[in-house]
Amino acid sequence: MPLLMPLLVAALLFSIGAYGVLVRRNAILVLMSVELMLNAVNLNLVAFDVWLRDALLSGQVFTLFVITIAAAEVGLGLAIVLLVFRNRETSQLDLLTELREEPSDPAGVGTAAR
Amino acid sequence: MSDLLLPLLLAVPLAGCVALLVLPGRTADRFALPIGLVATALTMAVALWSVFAATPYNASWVPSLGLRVQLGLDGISDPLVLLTAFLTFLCIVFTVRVQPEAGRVRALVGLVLLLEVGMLGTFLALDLLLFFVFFEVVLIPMWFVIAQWGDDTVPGGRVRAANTFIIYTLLGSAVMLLGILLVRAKTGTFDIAALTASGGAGMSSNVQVLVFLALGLGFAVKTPMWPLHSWLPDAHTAAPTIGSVLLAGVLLKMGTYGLIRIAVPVAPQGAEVVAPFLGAFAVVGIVYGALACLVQRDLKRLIAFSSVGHMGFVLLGIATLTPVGINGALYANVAHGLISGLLFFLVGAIKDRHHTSSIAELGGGLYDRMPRLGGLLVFAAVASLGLPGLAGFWGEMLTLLGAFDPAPGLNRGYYLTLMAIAGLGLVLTTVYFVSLIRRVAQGQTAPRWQQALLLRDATPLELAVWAPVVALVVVLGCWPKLLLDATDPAVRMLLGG
Amino acid sequence: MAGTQAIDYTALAPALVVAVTALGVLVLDLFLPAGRKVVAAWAGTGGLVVALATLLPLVGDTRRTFCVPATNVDPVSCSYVVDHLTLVFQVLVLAGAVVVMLLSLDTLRDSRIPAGEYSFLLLSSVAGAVTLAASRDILTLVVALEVVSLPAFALVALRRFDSRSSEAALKLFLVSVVSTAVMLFGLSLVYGTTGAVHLDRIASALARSDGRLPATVLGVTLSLAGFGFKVAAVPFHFWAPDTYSGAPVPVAAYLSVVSKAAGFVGLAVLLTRGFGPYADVWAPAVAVIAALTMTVGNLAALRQRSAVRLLAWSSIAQSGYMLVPLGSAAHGAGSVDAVLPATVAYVLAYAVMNLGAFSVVTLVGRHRPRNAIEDYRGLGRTEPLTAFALAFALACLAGLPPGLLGLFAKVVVFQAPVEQGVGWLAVVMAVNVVIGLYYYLAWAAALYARPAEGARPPSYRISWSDGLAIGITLGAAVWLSVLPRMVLEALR
Repeated sequence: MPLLMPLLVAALLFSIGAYGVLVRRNAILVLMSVELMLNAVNLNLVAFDVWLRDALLSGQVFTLFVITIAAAEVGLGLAIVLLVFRNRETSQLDLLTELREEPSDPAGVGTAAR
Repeated sequence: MSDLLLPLLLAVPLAGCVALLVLPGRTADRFALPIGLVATALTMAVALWSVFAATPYNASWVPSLGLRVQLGLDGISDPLVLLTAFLTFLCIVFTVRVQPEAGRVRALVGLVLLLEVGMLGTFLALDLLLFFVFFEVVLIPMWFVIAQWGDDTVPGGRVRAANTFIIYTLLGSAVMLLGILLVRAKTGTFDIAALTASGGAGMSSNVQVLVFLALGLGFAVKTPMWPLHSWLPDAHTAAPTIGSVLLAGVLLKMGTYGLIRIAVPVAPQGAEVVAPFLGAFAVVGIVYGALACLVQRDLKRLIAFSSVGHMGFVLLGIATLTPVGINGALYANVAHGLISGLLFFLVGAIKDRHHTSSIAELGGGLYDRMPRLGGLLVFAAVASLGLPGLAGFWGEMLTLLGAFDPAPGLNRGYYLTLMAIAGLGLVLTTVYFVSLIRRVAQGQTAPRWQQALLLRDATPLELAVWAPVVALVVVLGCWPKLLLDATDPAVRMLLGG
Repeated sequence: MAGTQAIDYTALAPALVVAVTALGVLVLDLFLPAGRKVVAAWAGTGGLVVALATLLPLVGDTRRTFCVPATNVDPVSCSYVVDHLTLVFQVLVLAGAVVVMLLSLDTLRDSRIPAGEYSFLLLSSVAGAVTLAASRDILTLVVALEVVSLPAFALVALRRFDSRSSEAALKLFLVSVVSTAVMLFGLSLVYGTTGAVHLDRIASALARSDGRLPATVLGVTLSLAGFGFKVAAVPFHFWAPDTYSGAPVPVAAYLSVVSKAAGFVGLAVLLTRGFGPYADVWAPAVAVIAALTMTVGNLAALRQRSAVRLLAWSSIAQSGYMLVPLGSAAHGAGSVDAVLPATVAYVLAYAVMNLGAFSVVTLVGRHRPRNAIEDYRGLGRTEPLTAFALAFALACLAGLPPGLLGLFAKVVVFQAPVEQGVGWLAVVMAVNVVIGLYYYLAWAAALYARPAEGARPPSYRISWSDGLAIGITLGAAVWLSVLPRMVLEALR
């Protein structure tokens, strides 16, 4: 299979993922889009590894690491989303504004953390 | 031993400042003024000794930056160092009796000592980066002096005046740093003596112009040169008396000293290109300062604007790039330091007694109710306008003489025009000072002051502080050789013979 | 390929010690009674100090481990290399972590944050940072970067019942994973076009190629994204103020100093050891990012009235200053080596100054939860030493005497664009330094102003751990102001 095809698919997946990140309001859907981007990376790495006939198989090794990282990120990310949901009853990103600098807060202090 | 004199000169006020910082609260508060007096008196003594006996000091500090602690004195910095030590001592003596209303004398004395370290260091430094560091040292202490001990009669308040001062000066300094680094990048050294001797070697004409502009901008803000002068009136007016004295008497000198010591010798071709513009701005400053003084209604602000005019003369002298002109600039520097210092002391005293410095409110008749103070004010005003026989005359005369016959590469006709306009400025200066004398010193005392029984004339301590300044002004006016003998050889060497 | 790789455990010792301590602390936490959980934090601090000690045998020669054999094109390449740059950053990371742990002790005692988990997470992150400094291939780089970041998300979220904390953690998390994904995509392209994952092999492949392949250029540029987020550079900076405000203040201190330093060492390693031959591609981009970052940071900081938010925006601006030397490396591989010491010097100086500021902010935050600038008014009269510590740190950050450390660091950074001929960047930085002075000075002035009418003058009981943290940072700042050689010549 020529190199171009997996690369194109990867680029397509990456773009779809990027679009999802930019457009989606729900934290979980953003997470899914990021997973899409990471899988695009995996596709890239494996395709390059095969094309380069890498003696160290570094592309495939890298892919394993990326899969692990993605899994760790998802685990942590879902835990945080759950925490937010428990505290705020929402996972819509545009409704999470408590930390922003409120124009109504003249001191610009907001509610600072301890 | 003699090469340790200059570090000692810097160490004494620093030790005083650290002592005030480190001693426990009660002790420090009680001993603040004695420590200040001892430190400044000692500094004066070491300064006198150094002028005659010190040899250059050279030690390594930060090799990777190329920063060396190189200190040295020559004819150009001698008078300024003496002026600094002298004025600082007088300020501390003045504070003994005239405590600032805001209290916290210990902090004030500590800041003044820190200022002294910065001012002396600037005049002693022979390494560009070291010069820059000391140039910056004065910023924060002066900011605190204006912001915490100043008064709020300035539009926007004293904090705003202090902020304007520091932001303007820092912007100039940042540009100056770029110039300094450019010099290093092209020549490989920060050593001022070596750079002066090489006379701009290693830098093409364009680079020299860039260097002179960058360095000059930083110095011009400090001088202050029109149109970068806007920080001055507010800062001077808002500052407490000793703050204004040090600001006018010493800080302004740092800018012109930098031009003479660094900008002109290190980038001579750049200086030749930019000098006509410098002269033009200088002359505009002279006339603008005089015109602004004519319409001022606040005494302190008037003296502040008169500083802009005087420094215009200094800049004109530098712009001629001749020994006569630069000698004149240095003379005007020292004279202005003494005379403006005295003026600010006097105006501060008047303001403390009347609780106002508005000319309209003060009315006339100062001779009447406070003859000594009135007399001194008139003396200072007359010295400031350049009466022959007093120090101010020689500075202005030598500057104009320099403009009459500028350096070979410069357009003589242009400089003659500048000289003429400067002469016009002189006339205007006379007008506003004489008018000031008429409005404030002569005439009848206004009714509101006639009732006030608390208006004391100058106290013995104040007279003791001011008398040496008066004496120096007269001595330098009658015997210019005293100063010129010191500065001339150094200036000739700087300009390359 | 040979059988097993030889592993140099002495070189790995710092990272191993920290990692083992992390796991040990987690296990220890199981056995501690409920009221004595803070012992776990003490154990963690002890482990960090031991790790600092294990750095001593490494001074001197360069040590390499986890190496792959040479091919007919490339020499032996190693994944974990301890050279001078590594040692400098490992000292910085470990010392910074010790100070953060000291600051955390009282936070753990006073709040409901679980001490064992907190210490474990912090130590794990530090282990990642220590490894990041030594990584010389892109896999190790990415994994180490993730090991630094993931525990940080949890640290921010650890106040589980505070909605601000979770919101801060979510924002941090989302920006982080997106930028990691972008960076990985860029790195995959670099791998594809150069055929190597070890940085020195990538560099030689890039040097051998003639012309600039679009794929490689894209790869190099995208790889900057991950580190751009870590150092809070524009346009990846907007998580910082919100996250610092929502997190506990010691965690904010950790993020702004240690985590950022880790990001910088990763960026430095990647750009100088890996992408050196492509300097003319990435240096202009870094220069523009630096200019934008410092300007955005300074302008936003002007409006801040909350101490932590101000420090957040100020750290963003300081990141801009640290990027300036890297942005000046416009003339190929030679200039890259010339400008690296400037970035390193500034990162070291910044770590000391910023930790100093954060130490005092943490202390004040314990007594004044709002932690607004107004709450510092009059501190100079009642707590002179603490106020002096903060004022000195602010003077260093502004770059004015008496904060000579900051002044020298800025001079070193200025030298880079002036010497390399990138004049516009020097001018932008000069203007920014002046803007920055304004808010540092306003804060320092508040310290020494009279307290507002009727307000309680601030007078605090300072615990030994807070006092020690403030003392260490102030002492380091003053010492380095007088003798800055250790910072400025760190790479020699």
